[in-house]
Amino acid sequence: MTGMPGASRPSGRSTLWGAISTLILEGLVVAVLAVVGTGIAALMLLLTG
Amino acid sequence: MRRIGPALLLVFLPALLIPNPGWAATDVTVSELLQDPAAFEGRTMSVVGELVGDYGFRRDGWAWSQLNGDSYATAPLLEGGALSGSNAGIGIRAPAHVIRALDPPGDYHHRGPLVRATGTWRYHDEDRGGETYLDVTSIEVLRSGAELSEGLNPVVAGVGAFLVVIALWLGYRSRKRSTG
Amino acid sequence: MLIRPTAEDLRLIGCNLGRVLVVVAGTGLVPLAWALVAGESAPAASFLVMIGAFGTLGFALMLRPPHTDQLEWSHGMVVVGLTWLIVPALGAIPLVLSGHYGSFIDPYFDAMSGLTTTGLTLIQDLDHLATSLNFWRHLLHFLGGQGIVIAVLSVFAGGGAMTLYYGEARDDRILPSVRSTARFIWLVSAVHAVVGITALGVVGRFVLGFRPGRAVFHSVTIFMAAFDTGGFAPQSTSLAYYHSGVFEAASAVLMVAGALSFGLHFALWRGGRKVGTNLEVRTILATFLGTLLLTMGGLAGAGIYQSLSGLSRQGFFQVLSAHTGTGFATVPTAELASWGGLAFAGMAIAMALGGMGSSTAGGVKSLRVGLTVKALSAQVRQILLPEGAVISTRYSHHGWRQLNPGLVQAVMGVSLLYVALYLLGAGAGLIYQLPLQSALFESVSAGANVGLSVGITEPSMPVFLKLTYLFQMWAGRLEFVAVFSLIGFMFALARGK
Repeated sequence: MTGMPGASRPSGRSTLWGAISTLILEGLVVAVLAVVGTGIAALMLLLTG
Repeated sequence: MRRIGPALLLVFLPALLIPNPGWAATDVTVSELLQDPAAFEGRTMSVVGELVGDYGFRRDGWAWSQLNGDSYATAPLLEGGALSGSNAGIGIRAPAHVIRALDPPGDYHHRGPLVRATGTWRYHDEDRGGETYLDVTSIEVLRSGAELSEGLNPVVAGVGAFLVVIALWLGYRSRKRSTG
Repeated sequence: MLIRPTAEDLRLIGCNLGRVLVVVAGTGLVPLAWALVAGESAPAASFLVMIGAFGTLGFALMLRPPHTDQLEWSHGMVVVGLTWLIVPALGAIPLVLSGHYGSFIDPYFDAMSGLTTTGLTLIQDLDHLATSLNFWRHLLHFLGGQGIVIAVLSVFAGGGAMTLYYGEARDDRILPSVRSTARFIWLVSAVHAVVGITALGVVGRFVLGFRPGRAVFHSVTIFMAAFDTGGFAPQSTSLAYYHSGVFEAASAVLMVAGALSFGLHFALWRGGRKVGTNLEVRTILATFLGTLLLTMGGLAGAGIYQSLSGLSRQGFFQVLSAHTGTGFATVPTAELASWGGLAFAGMAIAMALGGMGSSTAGGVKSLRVGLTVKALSAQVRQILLPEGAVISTRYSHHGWRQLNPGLVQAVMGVSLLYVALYLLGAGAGLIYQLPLQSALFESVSAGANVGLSVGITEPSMPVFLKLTYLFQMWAGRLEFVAVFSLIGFMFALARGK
């Protein structure tokens, strides 16, 4: 559907840091979503008695 | 004469997987538990089946495993048992010392021990994030585990080796053609 | 008028298909080595047959090389369409020989399910399956998820390789050349493999208390099923087997990583400053929270989970599994089948929408959902504005782009095809008097390559239903274009002039 104009190969150092930061970000996303999910669950239990 | 014992066991063991209210009121099968797990919430019961997979010994002193109540529990495929659908298993938790004494759990190389596990059915346990499992207090071994082995089929091995040789020959031919 | 393919066309297709099969034959050495190390001689022999079959067919197809290496669009599509039919057929050989299947179609179903990263299974007595065969089932997820063609492109990448790349439903050409893009995809996968397998292995060994060898076995198989949003599991009780929130959390991170497009992975690796405005990211967050709300509302309303810990952990994991297209379950099949009303709606919508494009997830895909919503809102605005007013709609996807009618048409066309695919499977289920809700759930699960089941997919199910789900898995994974190209090619071969 779409391309990615102007993209270039990441350099060695940025690749390593990029990999680490991406993995940390993925973990954080799941943690935040889980917290939001717990909030939604609490709300739903409250609403349904 | 020696062979009669195991043969009788094979005949009668499947009966243990079927609940018999007159004989033991608390016996429940794995398939009943899977069909309506909520109905048995908090009830103390005995469940018969084969322990399979792993014994996970945790730091809190508990051990976890899986109890299968399917036909393979009494008649594994490698001992001539017939195919009868997917596995039917439940999770069990028991004190580590209870599990430690048992034969290895069932897998490709082993027929796991067939046991009668007695304990309380925890349905959507609040303390364990909504998990469902049998909280076992005692285990009675009905039939000990055994080693299973699947013999190498020479025909399959022969066909495999033949095909690999053909493939290598064709690979040599195609390489020769593309370079030539 | 259809033009009959020439001998050169057939040579081009055959030679490229042959290359793919030879690479898969090489891949088969991994489970063979595993079987030998694990002392599983009978499965080892069956892997030898499989490797020989792949190699023989592959090299035989390469015997008559074409005069040119320039693949045209149609050639690439036909190669991909055929690859995804033939690889599961030969890949099913060790499964057939294992004795764990009741018919020939069942192992083919499982191999297709593995390759398309679906996760529905017809295997019997999985808990006694040889570890090497179990590993092979999961390796099929990895092969299919990372893209067999990607594997071949990183090695060969001849002229016209781009058509193969698009054929496997990958849209983001991240780096200037196809080969460097393919290698970046492998780099992302390798990094996640090292971290993911280590994390799952450590949890398995030190939290769950598994023996070291078994901890490795579980971590390798679960990694491949999670990162490739597959859904097979080494034991019959899926992820409920582990009884561990920590293990589920580690798997969840890998499932999320698998549902991200490789374009987004690339953007994140380079700093990811503009990721927040990306339409795909915003859409998937919105649809995930929406379906989570629906499912949890349904579960709480029906009183299925009455504790906060149960509802949040089980509800969250099941929706995440559905939306990423993974198909892991922590609740038994029969229990999942009892989730009616809003909970069913939430789960079915999550499965149908799926993850991001150019990822291993299936379904309509977030970018298409986001663009459809954008296009519809633009139409509404057009109606509300004075006649003759011109509005332009932009969207962010690795840079700002203009929404044009051609793109909207293509997006809506594919989205509609997915809806049709889901209805096809549901209709097939209704023929066998299955309840509408169950038929729809299982059909969406197959068509969107998810793998969650309410119990319909079992060895004793009707053959026609197995064939329908097989087609759904294949067409859904390839996003239709390669499928239509292959059908057109076959027609031209038979009726062309």
